[in-house]
Amino acid sequence: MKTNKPISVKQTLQNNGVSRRSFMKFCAATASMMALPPGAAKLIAAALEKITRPSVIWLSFQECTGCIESLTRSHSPSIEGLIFDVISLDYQHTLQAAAGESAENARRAAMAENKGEYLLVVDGSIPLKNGGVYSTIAGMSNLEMLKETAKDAAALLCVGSCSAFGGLPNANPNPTGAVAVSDIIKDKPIINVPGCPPIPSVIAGVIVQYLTFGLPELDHLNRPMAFYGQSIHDRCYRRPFYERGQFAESFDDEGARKGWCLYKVGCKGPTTYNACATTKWNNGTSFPIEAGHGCIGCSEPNFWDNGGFYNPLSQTPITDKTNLGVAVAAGVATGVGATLLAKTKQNKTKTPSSNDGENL
Amino acid sequence: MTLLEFARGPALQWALIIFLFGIFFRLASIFVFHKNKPLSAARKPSFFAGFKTIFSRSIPHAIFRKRIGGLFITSTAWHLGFLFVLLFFGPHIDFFKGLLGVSWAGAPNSVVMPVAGFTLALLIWALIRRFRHPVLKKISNMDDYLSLIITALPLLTGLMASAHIEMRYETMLAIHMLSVSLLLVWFPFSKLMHVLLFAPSRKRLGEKLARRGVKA
Amino acid sequence: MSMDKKMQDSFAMFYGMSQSLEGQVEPVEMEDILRVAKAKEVFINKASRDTALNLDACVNCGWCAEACQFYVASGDPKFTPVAKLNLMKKVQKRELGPLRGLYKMFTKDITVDDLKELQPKVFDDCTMCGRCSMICPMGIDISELVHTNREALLEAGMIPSSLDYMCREQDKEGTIFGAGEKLLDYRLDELKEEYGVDIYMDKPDSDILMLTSGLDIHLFNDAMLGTIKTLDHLKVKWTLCSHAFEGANFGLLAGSDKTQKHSTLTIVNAAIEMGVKLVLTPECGHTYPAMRWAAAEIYGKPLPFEVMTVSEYFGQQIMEGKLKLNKVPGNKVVTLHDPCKVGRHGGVFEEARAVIHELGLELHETESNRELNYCCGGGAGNFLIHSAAATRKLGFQNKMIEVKDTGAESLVVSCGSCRLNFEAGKLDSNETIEIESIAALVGENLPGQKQPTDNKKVISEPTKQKQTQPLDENESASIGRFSESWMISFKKAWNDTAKVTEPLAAINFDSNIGYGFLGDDKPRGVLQVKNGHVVSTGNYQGEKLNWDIRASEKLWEKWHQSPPNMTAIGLAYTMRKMQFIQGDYAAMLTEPRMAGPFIKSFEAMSKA
Repeated sequence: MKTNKPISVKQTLQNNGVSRRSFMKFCAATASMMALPPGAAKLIAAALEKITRPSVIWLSFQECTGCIESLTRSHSPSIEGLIFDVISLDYQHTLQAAAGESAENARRAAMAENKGEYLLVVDGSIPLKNGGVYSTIAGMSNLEMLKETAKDAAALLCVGSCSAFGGLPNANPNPTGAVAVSDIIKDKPIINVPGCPPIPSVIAGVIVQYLTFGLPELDHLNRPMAFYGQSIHDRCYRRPFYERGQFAESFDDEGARKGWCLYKVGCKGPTTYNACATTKWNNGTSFPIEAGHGCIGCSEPNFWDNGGFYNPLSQTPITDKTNLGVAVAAGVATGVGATLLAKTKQNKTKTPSSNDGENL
Repeated sequence: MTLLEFARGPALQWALIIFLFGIFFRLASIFVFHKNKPLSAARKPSFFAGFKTIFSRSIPHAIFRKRIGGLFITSTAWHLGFLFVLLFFGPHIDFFKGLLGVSWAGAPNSVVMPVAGFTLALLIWALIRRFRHPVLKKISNMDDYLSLIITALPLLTGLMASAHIEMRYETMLAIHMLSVSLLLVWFPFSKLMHVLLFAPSRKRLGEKLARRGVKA
Repeated sequence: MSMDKKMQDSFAMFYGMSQSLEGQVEPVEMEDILRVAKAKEVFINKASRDTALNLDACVNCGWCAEACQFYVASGDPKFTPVAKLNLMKKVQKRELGPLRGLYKMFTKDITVDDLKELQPKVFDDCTMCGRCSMICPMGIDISELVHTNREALLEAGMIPSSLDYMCREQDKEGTIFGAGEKLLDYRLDELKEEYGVDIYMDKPDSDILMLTSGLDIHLFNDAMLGTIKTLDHLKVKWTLCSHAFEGANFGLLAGSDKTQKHSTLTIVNAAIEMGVKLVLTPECGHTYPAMRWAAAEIYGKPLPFEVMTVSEYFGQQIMEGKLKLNKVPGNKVVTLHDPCKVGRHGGVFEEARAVIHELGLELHETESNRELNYCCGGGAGNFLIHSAAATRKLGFQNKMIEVKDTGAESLVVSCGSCRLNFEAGKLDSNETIEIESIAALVGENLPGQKQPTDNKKVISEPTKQKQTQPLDENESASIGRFSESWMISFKKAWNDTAKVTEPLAAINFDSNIGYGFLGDDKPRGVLQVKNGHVVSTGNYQGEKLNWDIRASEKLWEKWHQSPPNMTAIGLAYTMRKMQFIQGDYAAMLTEPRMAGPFIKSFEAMSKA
């Protein structure tokens, strides 16, 4: 299927009956989400209006589809949904109408037409074991498809923890040999938008940020600082309880009911970076901590294997105590042995002298 | 594996193993030696006196307060401060719960943090003093200096992590946990063993003196 | 002064001789490697659970220095108690500790230089008083470990010469300062004659074995007398033992396990043989722990008799109402010094105080008292070590600050060593406080005795000198001793003996010394000594003399054949076989070290 001729976003919005007001609201919301000053909304609007809708190819690999569900599942037209008016989503398994060969042809055509300019969005991890046979599309392994599609992309956007860090498939024992996108693609700019799933408005916001400002400022895990620059802990509304030493010790105890800090029931807020505590979910309805469950750290690498969701951060995740028992026994044995050996140096007839310790 | 995962996981695990091994290694190496059992007639029985000395020695005799009164206060303060931070900061209590299965009530951060800061200041002062005082200059060795520094590091890094100074929080947290691992590994092979040795040592002196009718 | 003229003179002589013991024995010859090996062997053999625990428990806090008399007085960190144990710690870590493999790889072994450095640390600079153990937050028994260091140095042949001398004498003869049975009998006869006391020697069926010490026999007769009088007064069945009367134990002080055991067992075996119930140790510090605590260990099982020191026993008798004393008139204010070995290491506190209260004396305690008292500064045999003089003075001065604060007229103490150190300390300071012995005080104030008036003790006049027949002129002329020609050859011999002239020159010794015979009213020959050298000699012309030395012809002849050593001179002096009709005791007190070369001059005399 041939892609649409490049027409401006402004035009597209008009064609789709999106009022200017709604559009401005979207720009304002995005600006404030990025903690930009009010004037930035106009900037974003201007930028978006001018550009032609960029081509976006969305590859879904070893994933649960939760990310696209998060983005699209809404019971009323959401501002996030507007993003699809801003971009030209030329390939996406769940949303596209095409199937089979025609879908793949559409992908390749979009790649050729927008060579060097299209944005490649990936969700899901890439299995490597046994030649990548654990996830294939159209007879191609994910690995092959990723490499082929990434070759001419302008940048990669890894949506969700699976593509960003390996996610669930990558968790112990990782039977499929799942890896993150950044483990494979080394020569293209990668923006990670992790989360399990990521907040929908964050996904949209990152895309808008990319389109408006180019590659955003990224942290050491390639996550946009605008959305992943603060830890949950530092923005958590329950923080005062942490400071006051008031914790829920177990679910549904007095502390839990009073809404106290969930550190002791395993909240990973202090080491998790995301926008959940500020932007929240479902149009700002709530987020896990507010609902009474500790943050599981889903936007961080290896969060599945990090010692359990219900063990506090300060507990060592390795729980095998037999090692410690062995250490004690070994210490006693070697200490006794070494000292018995030392005692052989002492002259038995003189040692210790009978009056030692009693001379003075 | 991130630094934090390493610090929380294998680093701490191995540190605990070495810690336990080392402690029992050192204790065994003392207690396997011959025990002196006096044959002379005791003036007074000394069994409980020995235990009493373990506690009474924590407070110097009044006559010495002129000379070491200030030192006594600062050394007690830093020990208590360290213990307080170790045992009553919420996340630390969870650490012990994971190891020992018991937990207890904690103190608010508004108390723990100043205590930690004050304790760290005392340790730094102690380190400076150790460089300057003539008696300490004469008798101090690497063990003394390193033990001070290694004990101060968890306090320093913990405060830095809490206050979000310098690095990213999880990096500072990892460094804090690594500093604890360092402390655990250093502990059995250094003078920090006095944490365990003070009791039997005081007890023995108390016994010896008490059986002679002398208050220890 | 609590010391009468006789005792003062004796003190001067004793002081002089005690400061001149260095060089009396040849230093031990040993390969350096062997010295190190022997020292290490002691450290290794002596390691026990307590040693390992103590050495490991130290946290180098430095508090021990703040309790040490010497550091408090001087601020010099070299006195830091635990610093004295650094070498021992090192050996423990390298030889016996669990990580010895690593220490051996990365540290150097101890050397003979380390041992040389160690010697003054544990002999001069430490009296093993144990006050540091009272402050140590880890409860380390530092003084006991210092003692082990002494043992190591003894085996390495590196103890101070003066202690070596004392230890060897005690090992060989069983005596100290030459105080053997002969001198003891002499002294006891004197006391019997003068004071009419009953003295029992080797009496069977006795309950109490009284010990004494060479120090009391030579010098502090008042303590000995007081003990005897009180035992008589108590009507207890007591006795001395002719072959086991020396309580002092220089084996313990010098660090000789062998000599310590030998001396202790002498007493233990005698006590058992005699079947006594109590061994009464004299006023001597370390005698007490040697018998009370160490003896059972040496014997191998609990002793079948009790051990008490004089102050303890008499105090107990008072506390039980069995001994009453006259009150010393005048509400005299006194203070009490608890000797370290009897108090802090012995547990005898209240008994001595009971004595003082019974005597009606007003006791003002020093600020540091009982188990926390300050040492007198001169214990553990350091009185005999000349290089320790400055350190002893520090201890004395430190103690005096507290003593003076009490406002007391007298300092009461029940230890001859402390007494000696206090008296010596007074010599070059402004202190004038009286030093009194508990045993002497008790003995002087027994009911039914003549009361001393105005706090003055009964002055005992020196005994009538033992008369010897004056030599007739013929005899002396025929022998020629002390004749003019004889004196000239004596002068030459004196000036030829560097061991005499050099040390005397170093102290600018100027003296007129007369020599003669007991019983004569004049000395025969005179030496005029200037700057250690004899400048002129001749017959006595009536000139003023600093020294007028007399002995019997027989004794002079004996000494001509075999020149006397320190011990022989001391014996002769105490037994009045050699007398100073004129004695420059003041000079002896100022320059006690003149005693050594002075005695060597007798050697020179034998070449005349």
